[in-house]
Amino acid sequence: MSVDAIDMLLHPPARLQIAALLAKVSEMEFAKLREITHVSDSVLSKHLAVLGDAGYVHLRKAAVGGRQRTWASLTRAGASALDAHVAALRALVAHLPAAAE
Amino acid sequence: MNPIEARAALDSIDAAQRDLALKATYCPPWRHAAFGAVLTILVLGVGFGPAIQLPSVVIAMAGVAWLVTDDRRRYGVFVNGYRKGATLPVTLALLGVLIVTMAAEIHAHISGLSVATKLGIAGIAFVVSLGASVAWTRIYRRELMRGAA
Repeated sequence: MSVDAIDMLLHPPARLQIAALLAKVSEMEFAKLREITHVSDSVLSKHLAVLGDAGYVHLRKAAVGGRQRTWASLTRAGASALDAHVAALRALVAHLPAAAE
Repeated sequence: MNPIEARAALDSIDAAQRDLALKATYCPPWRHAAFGAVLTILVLGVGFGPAIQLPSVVIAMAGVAWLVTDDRRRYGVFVNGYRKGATLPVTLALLGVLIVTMAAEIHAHISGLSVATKLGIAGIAFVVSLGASVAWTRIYRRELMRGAA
């Protein structure tokens, strides 16, 4: 695994965190994603739009408690891309001396 | 990207997943009990024939729908119990126990065993479901806290 395997779509920290969070749940609501990633509504919306356009994330609107909310989930393509990206990161980290880790 | 940046990226994944563990995995005791009760209704209904079984299935399904809706509203997250990962053995073990207890209820019904026996079988289903719910949540939380990146 080389640096070429790094997925530039998942390279921005917030986007990587979004994908990593969605990998651990079936669906997460927009507000919860914002709370954990510590980004603004507009920044999160942009990241989700990029991930959605790439087919990595599926977005849907649904009413919960009478309010319309956006729910995000990781697609199979997104999960595969995240796995490959994390593997590439691990391969890079393997070059670090133990003390630096 | 250099190795130090890669390490930072992996650490950011772990940090986000730990944050998820802290903010979205607390499950109050009543929630575990409610899950156990829903499955117990499903198991118990089998022991009393179609007249009771059909309404019990409807009640259990309504209970599941209510639990899922409540989880989504309260945590902003939905996690499928059948997800891959460290929790899957717990899910499969629970499924196995439910099948066995349902088979036992059918046997009790066909053999005309007492209501106390049927309630006893359902009681076993409740205790196992409750324990599985607690174990599942703990394992899921541990998985998130451990960080795999």
